[in-house]
Amino acid sequence: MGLLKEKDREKVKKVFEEIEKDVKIVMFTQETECQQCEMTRKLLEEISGLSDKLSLEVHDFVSEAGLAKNYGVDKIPAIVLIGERDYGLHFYGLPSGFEINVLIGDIIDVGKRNPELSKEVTAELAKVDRPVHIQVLVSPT
Amino acid sequence: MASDHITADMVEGSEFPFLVVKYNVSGVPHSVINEKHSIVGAQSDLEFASAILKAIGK
Amino acid sequence: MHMGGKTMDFPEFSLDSSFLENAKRLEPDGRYDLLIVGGGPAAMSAAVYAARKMMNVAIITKDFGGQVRETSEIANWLGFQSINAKDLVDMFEEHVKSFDIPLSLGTAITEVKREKDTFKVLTDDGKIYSSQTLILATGKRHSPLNVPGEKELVGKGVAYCATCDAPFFKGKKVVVAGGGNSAFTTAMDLLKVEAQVSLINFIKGWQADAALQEKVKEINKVKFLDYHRVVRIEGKERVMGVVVKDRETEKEERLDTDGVFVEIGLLPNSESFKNLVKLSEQGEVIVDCSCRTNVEGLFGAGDVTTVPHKQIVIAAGEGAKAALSAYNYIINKSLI
Repeated sequence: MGLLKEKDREKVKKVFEEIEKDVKIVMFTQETECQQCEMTRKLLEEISGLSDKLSLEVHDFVSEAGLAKNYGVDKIPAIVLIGERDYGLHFYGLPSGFEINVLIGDIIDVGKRNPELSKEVTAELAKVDRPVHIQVLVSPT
Repeated sequence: MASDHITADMVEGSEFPFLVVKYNVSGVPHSVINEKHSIVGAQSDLEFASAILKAIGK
Repeated sequence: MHMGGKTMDFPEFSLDSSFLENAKRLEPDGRYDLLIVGGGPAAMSAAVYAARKMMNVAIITKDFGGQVRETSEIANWLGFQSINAKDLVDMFEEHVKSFDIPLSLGTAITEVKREKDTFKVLTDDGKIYSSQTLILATGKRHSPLNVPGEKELVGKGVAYCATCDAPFFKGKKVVVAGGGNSAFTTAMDLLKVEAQVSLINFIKGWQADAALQEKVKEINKVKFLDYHRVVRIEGKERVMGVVVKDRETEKEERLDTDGVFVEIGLLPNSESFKNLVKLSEQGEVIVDCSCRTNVEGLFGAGDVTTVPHKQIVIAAGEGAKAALSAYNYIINKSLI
């Protein structure tokens, strides 16, 4: 039995039909996995299997520290979504509860290569000319 | 995705309590821009964009 | 699940369809027979009826459920002695989605105009949609207290509708914020279920109808605190207490309580069309019993209108009427 319920897997498979381009899901864990890392990895394995446009790469945070640094990953479990480039989009921790929807939604946005922001917001963001690091702390509900 | 300068992390507070303490989080969602500017609660896309600009002094 | 150490509970994943699914997009070009603005029971019921009449209908809404989402258990929706509010909304949504109606979800309307015999709806993502008829079913929003703890504890002790939720506070301690008719009516509803009620009013005195005030005062069980401000609502999983401030003495006091009913008023979501259709003094869309407004082809349904009682089953009925009226309007027009 997977982590997702059968009917949820079906739902996700259906919405993944909107994905147009390849999405690479990169995950960082470590050899002696803590529960969160193991769960996250299993979840990603399940999710990436629901669309042939998704691929999953699992890396070790400790032995591949250089790679982790390149992706800007500083804690685990970490999920990075890559489209035609690294957007700097990271998920830290197991996205359970409602958060799973954010991960799925972001995978779709990356897969459509379109974050679906309004013209106004896009215009505002174009004014950003230096590094901005946003961290959104959430808790699984 | 909309800007090359922006990196964004979604962080499960329950798994990284040190961040919850560091940023004095008492309600979620709690967003922090450049480790300094906090925004509590859900925001519209536009409000968030404005907060980002404000945080970088624009 | 054991992992050589702590046992972890199986994680729960709450997949949310309306968050994920991008239902058929609305077409900005072309003219719909009917556009429904809103996503509560009135709007959803209207959608079902319009779809079954094979009308070219589309829905524009921020989300589904409306005020129903603010409550937890519903005991007066016909057929169910008790049903969880979210389950009811999910059922409504499933029904509406079974018709594959084009949907603009997550959008709010900014303006509604009429150009000749076509309605134009402008949305906050910069799009314009056209239709021959329109149903306004945008409902109302509660004037919130806007204090810490309020948003987090909605449905966990913070409530906005006594008709719906009073029974769940049987024998419990409740604070009612407000000083007018809805606050006093709420107090009455709560006293009926033997709750211990405290009334907190921001301004001095009490503004409810004298007769209603008398009725409540006669029961002699309510604590009256006028000229007090609610400072914050406390509690994590459930409401545990409320801190109020005496505006005269500036002293703060913490009251133990199991619930806070916010009855400081409801605001009709009619701002975006106030220049188009006739509104009552309270800002509600004036409708007749066929849900017609003063504008031809424009109909209203549910809490945003002047319908005398605001309840889910009533809103659903109004939505059905409005859709049928819109349908009849189109049929009659095409016969001219």
